[in-house]
Amino acid sequence: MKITEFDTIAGYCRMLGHKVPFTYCRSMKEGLPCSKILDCWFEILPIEQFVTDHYTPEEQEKFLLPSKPKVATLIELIEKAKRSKS
Amino acid sequence: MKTKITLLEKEMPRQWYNLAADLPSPMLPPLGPDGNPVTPDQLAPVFPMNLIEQEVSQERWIDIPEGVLDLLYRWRPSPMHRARYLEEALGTPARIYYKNESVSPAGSHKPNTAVAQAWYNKEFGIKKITTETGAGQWGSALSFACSLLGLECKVFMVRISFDQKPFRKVMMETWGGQCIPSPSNLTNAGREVLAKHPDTPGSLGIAISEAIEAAVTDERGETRYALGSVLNHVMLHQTIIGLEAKKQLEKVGEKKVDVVIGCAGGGSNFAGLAFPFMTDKINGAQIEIIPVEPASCPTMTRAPFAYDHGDIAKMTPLLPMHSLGHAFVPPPIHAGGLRYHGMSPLVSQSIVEGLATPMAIHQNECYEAAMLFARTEGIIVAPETSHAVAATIRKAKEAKEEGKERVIVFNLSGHGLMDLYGYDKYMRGELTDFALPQEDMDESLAEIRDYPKAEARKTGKW
Repeated sequence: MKITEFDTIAGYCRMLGHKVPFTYCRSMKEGLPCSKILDCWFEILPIEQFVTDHYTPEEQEKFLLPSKPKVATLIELIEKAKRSKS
Repeated sequence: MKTKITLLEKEMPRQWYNLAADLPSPMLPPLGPDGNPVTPDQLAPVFPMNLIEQEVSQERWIDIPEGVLDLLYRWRPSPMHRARYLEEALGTPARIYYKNESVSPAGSHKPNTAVAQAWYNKEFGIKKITTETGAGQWGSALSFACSLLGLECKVFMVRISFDQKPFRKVMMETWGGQCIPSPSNLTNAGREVLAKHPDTPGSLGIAISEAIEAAVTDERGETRYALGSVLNHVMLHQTIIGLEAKKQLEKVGEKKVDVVIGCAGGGSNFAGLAFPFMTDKINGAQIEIIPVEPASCPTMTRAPFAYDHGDIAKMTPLLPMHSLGHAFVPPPIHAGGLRYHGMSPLVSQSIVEGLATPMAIHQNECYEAAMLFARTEGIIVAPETSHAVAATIRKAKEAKEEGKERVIVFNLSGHGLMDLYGYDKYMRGELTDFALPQEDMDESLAEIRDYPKAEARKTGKW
């Protein structure tokens, strides 16, 4: 299947709180899919096949992770921002 | 027949309640990547020190400044309702009460901490607050709060939401907030993403990075960042809900509460109602305190208490919390506010102690409950709030079966008028219940098996 095959199908994004096209879900993480792509689409699309067809195991490991807890990201982002400042 | 129980402004609580002071077992500190506890100084670039002091405070009661009370008076004290029509529909001997937080200008409990955080920032000399938002609930609450204090508010709103939720943007702008689609050209984080992906629709991760960077890189040091959930000071500010509720119950002669219920994502609306009742439980009262979560995302009901990293690179701090491990990918559900992988450490510790007993409920039962609630009490509750309604109905039916009068209190944390999609799907019969299989859970937890284990500090009293 082509990577753009399902791009116009809309689904509800529980992170953002509104509908989004599938193209968002497959590209929102700097070109890679959202970590929740399997959960949100498994009832609607052959999503596991889609992921297997279009992403390497390394890429899958990179994006198939839950969102970080906000509190746990703060220190990391502060340090990153400080580096950016300097 | 008294349906709505109100308080006068002069009857509003003058102090917030800090559960950390009364937890029988001390809180475990968040750890940095080096294994050492995170220090206040590490958080200083994004939070004013007066809020960091609250974050680490062990004082039981913390005065609510008059300035904050003046802000809260705009919608507080919030009403408590006796859900007589729901009781009648259920034929239960239970007396059901709910604290109606949907009456705030932004439609949820979020402004309780937004106005407090804005006030403390202003006191600290801060001129501008940054934050991130998806659909715009927290961004709206903070914009509202900043408008009351003459602070600048910069909200990085995920671009796709910015384009698709024009009314939330209008809400923020009406309150004077600056709503910027993220990624933007205002930050290095945003520019880096745009350079590689000029047409990117953005993400919450990018928006948070931009908000933090905007605060940290302000040369004048006049900008800080605000967070709407998880942290201790956020829980603290929300306790005004439970403190008011206790006064309101007293007004109608309720001397004993049997069950306290709130939905729990990051934990702030549950904590807000429940923590003031938890102190009674610590001092001997028999109260069942229930945080409710989606059965498909069992952060509290099935996972062990463990240290867990926030990322696969294992560079973020180790935090003691209920966790399903990195590899856990929650299945679909339509309660946007209940999506946190981790739970507030204070809520986690209260569960470990046995002071709170979590419950998980499937989304179809939640929407069925929300529909009954709308058709009896009239309020269309937010999807996440429907979990608390469903748990309340369960307990009311139990009371009926046992023929016992019980007093049940729950937190109506917000209305659902801007999030009706789940209702639509429920009415069309398109919602599917999905429980995480034990084997998936075991596989996920295997990922964190070898991490340092949090000491399960508990007294064993509950």
